[in-house]
Amino acid sequence: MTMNPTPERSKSLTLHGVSKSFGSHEVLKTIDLEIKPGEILAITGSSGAGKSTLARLISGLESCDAGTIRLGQQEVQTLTPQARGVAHMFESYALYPNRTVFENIASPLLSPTQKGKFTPQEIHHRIEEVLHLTEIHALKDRLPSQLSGGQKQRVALCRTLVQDPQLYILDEPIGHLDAKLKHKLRSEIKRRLRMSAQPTLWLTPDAIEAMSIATQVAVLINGRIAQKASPSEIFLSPANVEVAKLVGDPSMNIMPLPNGDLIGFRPHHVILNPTQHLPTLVVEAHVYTIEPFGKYTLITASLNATQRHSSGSEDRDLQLIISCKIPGPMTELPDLSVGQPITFHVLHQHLLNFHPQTGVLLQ
Amino acid sequence: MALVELNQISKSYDGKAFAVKHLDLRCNSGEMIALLGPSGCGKTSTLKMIAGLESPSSGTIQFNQKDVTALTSAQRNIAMVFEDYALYSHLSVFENIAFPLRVKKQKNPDIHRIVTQMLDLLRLQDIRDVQVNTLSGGAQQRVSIGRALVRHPEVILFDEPLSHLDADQRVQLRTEIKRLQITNGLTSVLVTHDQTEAISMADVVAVMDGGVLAQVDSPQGIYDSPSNLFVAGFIGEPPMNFIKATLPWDSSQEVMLGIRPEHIRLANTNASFTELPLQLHAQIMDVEPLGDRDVLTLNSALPSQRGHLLMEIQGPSENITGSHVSVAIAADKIHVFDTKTELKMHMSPQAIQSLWAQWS
Repeated sequence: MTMNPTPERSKSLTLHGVSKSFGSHEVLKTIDLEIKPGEILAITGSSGAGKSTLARLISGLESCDAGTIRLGQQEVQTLTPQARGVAHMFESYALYPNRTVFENIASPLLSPTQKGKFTPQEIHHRIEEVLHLTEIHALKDRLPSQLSGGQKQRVALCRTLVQDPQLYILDEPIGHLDAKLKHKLRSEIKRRLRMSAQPTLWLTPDAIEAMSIATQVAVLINGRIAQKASPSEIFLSPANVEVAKLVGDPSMNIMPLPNGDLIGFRPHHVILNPTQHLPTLVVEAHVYTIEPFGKYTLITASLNATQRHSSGSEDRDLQLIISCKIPGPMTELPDLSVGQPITFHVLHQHLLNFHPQTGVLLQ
Repeated sequence: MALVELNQISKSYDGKAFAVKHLDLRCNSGEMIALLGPSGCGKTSTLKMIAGLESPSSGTIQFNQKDVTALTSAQRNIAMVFEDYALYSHLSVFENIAFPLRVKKQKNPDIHRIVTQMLDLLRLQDIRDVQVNTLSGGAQQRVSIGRALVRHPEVILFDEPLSHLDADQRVQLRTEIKRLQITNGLTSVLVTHDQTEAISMADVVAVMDGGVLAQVDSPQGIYDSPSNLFVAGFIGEPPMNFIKATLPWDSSQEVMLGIRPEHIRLANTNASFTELPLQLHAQIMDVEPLGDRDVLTLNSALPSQRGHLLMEIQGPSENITGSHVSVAIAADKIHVFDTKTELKMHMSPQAIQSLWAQWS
């Protein structure tokens, strides 16, 4: 058997006008998407934004109220889940409790629809490969009840990656792993998926994870795609205030100005001592906390009363506290203590303007 | 608030294996100490012994120089904030915070005054009458902190307080806890497996490994000068790069060089180096854009694990997978460990440079 993509396997996933309501609650509103073979589209958004519902519509576990879902030229929204050939990793893992790790991973390859697709040798080879990739080879004879949460997640991931489907859907695939393993696995999985002949849909509430693995990032807010763009574009030019606040660690500072403008700036663009003679926004505040992160220090500060201006929009707390990410160890900072006054600068070139009422980015 | 001291604390559950062994720790009054380590390192057992939920097999625990080892949890005047909030889910925000005061049979006007102050402090005034199980995780955890604080405990114990929260709530509450701890001078013990939480929140970080202390230091001290290989590898995200080498001038001495990803720079940028830049040619295998920084995976001739090196630069950058780059590392930023003892070794930048010569 050859691993090269055959023409009928290299299919794009295309969604057009897909909508879904549960009762009177509109969960997804006219979603349009396209993922090409070998592309990873990451969908990010807070919990309840509609990510998992979108995944279930595509794999056929729920049906759309409106719109079309195509794999290649074929409309699949009326097909059974089996007929669509989607490898879907669930956030809940859904492992068979009475089967070993190895048997769980083998299960999709032994299903009636897969009969004759792989020889027993190929099946064995594929399982060994994913077990090594996710570093759970030593656990292959255990039952799910003998595994930690992170280990179960890796079994579910293996069971998905072992398949040779039309499309991969990974619903929070690495959310429960520790930071080191997460970092290692995401780049290995990314490399593997980008070389594959299938499109991949990767769902995560973590916008940083979404940027790190994806060709394109789609931000889902209240059932609508607020923006779909490359990782750097999402970060540099967020379509609106909501996207800006979702993407970045910590999130973007949003501040209304006395003239009614609504501006945003990233914490790493805040400077303590401007050296260049370029125009800056000057911010007067008091130190709220100082948090050392080793390679940088995060200073949060509460704006002085004279700089607080109502924008008429939502969370007042967020407008009062701004975050500043200062590179280098804390020992290189001037002596600072909680409560003392502090002046920040932000170069004008680093300011984004948002519409004060709608929150849309102004060019 | 109390000064907390642990003297030669050991804990064994079966009389053979030790969950915690000969632990000496001190948390000054008004400070926060973080117990940090992977699961099974003994941090939770230590917290339970401070709380009085478990008794040590040997050793003593003192609050303000008074021995509390034999006291029950209730007698110690401690408060705990749990990972899963442990609130009375059908009571309101107000009643959850009032609960410890009602147990103590305080008078209604007093309860009202104290709880109202706490609601102001934690900015929960707007939701005082809301049933807690309808709140977000971050708001629930703020309620549980309020419930802990109204008792005026001598020590407040935080057991993984942020681990169930969404990323944005985690960042906000992390800052809130730090602010409360400083402005109210709370003597606090934080248990966490998350190194960014530990180093950003605590005054002192105690890294534990296999029931013993691997290092105790300030957050910046732990990050800048890890005293052994375990701490070096555990602290830092993305993790430190390790390169195994034998000293050219002493073939019996194997060392491990440690390089933090942010200390590797592209050689063609105008970065200023304080000490002896070491050069290296590499190929970019992967680019991870993370917003304000990019993490690059490099392939080089260095004998690192699988030939890979992680490098962190300011983002978003224009670097492309597959391209060849020259990178540089300041010799004084390189950590050296003895592979046998796993302890930090001192090596001059000149010696590191001559060791480097074999690869560049």
